Amino acid sequence: MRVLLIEDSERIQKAVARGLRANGYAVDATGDGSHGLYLAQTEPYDVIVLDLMLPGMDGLTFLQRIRQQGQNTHVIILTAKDTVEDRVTGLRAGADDYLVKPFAFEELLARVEALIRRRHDAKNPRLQFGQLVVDISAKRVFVGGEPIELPPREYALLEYLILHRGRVVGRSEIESHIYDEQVEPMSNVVDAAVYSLRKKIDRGSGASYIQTRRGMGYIFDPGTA
Amino acid sequence: MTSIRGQLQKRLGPPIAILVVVSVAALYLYVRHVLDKDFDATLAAKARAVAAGVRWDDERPFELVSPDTASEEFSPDKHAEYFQIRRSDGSSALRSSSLKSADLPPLAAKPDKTAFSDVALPDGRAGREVVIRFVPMRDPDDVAIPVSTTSPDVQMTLTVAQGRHALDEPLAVLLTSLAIGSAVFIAGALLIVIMAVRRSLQPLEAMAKAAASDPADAAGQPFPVAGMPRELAPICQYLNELVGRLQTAFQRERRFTADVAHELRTPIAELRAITEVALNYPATAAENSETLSDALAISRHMESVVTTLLALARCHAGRPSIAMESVDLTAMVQKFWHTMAEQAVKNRLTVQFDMAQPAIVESNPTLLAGVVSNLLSNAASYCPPGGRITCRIQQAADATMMEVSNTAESLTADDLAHMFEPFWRKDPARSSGSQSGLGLALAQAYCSVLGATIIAEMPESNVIRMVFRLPTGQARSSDGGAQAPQRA
Repeated sequence: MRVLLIEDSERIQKAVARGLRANGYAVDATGDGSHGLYLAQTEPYDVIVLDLMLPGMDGLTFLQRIRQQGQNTHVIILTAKDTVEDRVTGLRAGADDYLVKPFAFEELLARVEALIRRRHDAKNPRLQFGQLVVDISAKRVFVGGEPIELPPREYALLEYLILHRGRVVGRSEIESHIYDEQVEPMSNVVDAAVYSLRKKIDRGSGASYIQTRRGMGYIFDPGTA
Repeated sequence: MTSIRGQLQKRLGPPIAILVVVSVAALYLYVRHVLDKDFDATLAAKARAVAAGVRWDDERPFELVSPDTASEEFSPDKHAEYFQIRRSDGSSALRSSSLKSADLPPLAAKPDKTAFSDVALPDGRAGREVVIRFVPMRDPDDVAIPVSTTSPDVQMTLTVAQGRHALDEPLAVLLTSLAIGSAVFIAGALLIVIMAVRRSLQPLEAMAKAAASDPADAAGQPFPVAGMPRELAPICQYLNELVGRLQTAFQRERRFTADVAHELRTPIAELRAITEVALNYPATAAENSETLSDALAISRHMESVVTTLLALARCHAGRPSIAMESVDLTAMVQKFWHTMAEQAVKNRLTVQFDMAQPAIVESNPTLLAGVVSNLLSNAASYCPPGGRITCRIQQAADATMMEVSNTAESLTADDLAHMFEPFWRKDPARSSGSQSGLGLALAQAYCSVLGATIIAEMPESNVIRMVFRLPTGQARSSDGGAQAPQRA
């Protein structure tokens, strides 16, 4: 999942980006509202974490702009403005959630996860497909009841494919949602990650959960495993 | 608790009642006195008429004959009148037929004096008697009577008495009328006093209602001026002005509190975010070191904000006692600029000094340093890259002036009014972590303690100039001097 973080406090920006990346998110961060708008217009994001008082362009204007352009990306406002009027204004401007600073990082993380679940209409964080169980809240994966360890990016790849199950997902789409600006993905990085993931979750069964559609991409098909 | 209404009613009601009672009593007594006098005059005239009619009996020497007029007035009936003539030894010489065998109460009367007294009449009625002394007339032709008109033996005492009902009845009617009239008057007067006091105090009640409202509520003027009495209208006006100033102060206080909360909330949020992430997610040694450096920087920033706020609070709490000494303002500017020169070079700033050498002032060095460092730091921080900073110090007979100008591309004339407000910054995002927005507010507070002034002005559309003026008395004369422009 790819998150856009627009926060003018450099320290909060670095800490939140680091925490989100540690949880498998691809994070693009900026401290300027105008640059944030540019990123939101050019990259596909699953969630945008938005401060309100920003240089370049304030958060509410940013929000109105992307909504006017028809973007439905979930936005969570992260701000020091804590009055009821501020919250109402932010939510009515198009935000999906509102979190006041100072905040607990775990709460921000949980809210980001909730927004992603809402985006994919997955209210239950524990998803089961035969022997495979994925807890998208705890970021844990079980095969045959046994936990398996996945690096953050492989987990992110699996979660993305599961949340888009039944649909062919192209390599470029995977790259744009799994890798942020800090990573220069090589041409076969997605193929290598899929190969590694298959070895861990298929456990030698005949068919794989992740099917290749030659020339198009990959599809998560729980019925084939 | 006493009330003005109660006090006025207490002080007006009883005196009015007493005044009415005393006036009515005086009127009654006067009328009674007049009637008494008139009654007594009638009684005395009647006595004199009786005395004039008394004669010595022609047949019996030393016996008196009743006057002709006595037959009707002094006959015994319901409203009988009485007279009795006594000799000098007190024996009765003659009495009216109405007396029958009774006597009138004796009353001493001096010669040529008429004495009056209230008595109980023989028939039991209340009456009044008059006593006169007289000598009965004798017939001028009756020379056989051997008596001298001057002899005490022939001097008689005449007592005439009659009922008082003719006097007492009108007096009783008068007294009753006056009592009823007084009671009605007093009740009416008290009612008028109560209503007048209540009506007169209505403006005070309106003021009390207005005063009971929260002065922090900025919903218009609380004290009504229109319709107020002339004595209260200026008070209401002054109170409205006072409430206006209070509301302004409350608003400033609220804004200040909100600003303080916001200023502290941001570093607290930063501190919490970096420490939580550092504790929960593995990091490299370099990342951990960066986290610790950030935490230290945040705590220093918060310490700076709190220290500045305390300094501001101390200045606003009252003018502290400060020690004054000679300070070279120019040397102080050079010393502080030395610490900022590197930043100026980095930002490619053109810096020009035009300063008296030296500029000796009598001031408190600590507070003066606070003003100077804030002015220079502000100019260096907010001057955009490639901009220009000018610092000028001039000394005149009445004051020392220090001007610090810098390029300010985003400022407008409207911003000048906010320059000295705590936490005010042109950038609403307040993304400049090194500036707390308290520097100019603190500089202004220091100026007020030093007896100096500081103003912000825009001599050109993109230049902000801070003018610090320290009046003489705190400034010493010095040689003038200037430095050529230099590029930092």
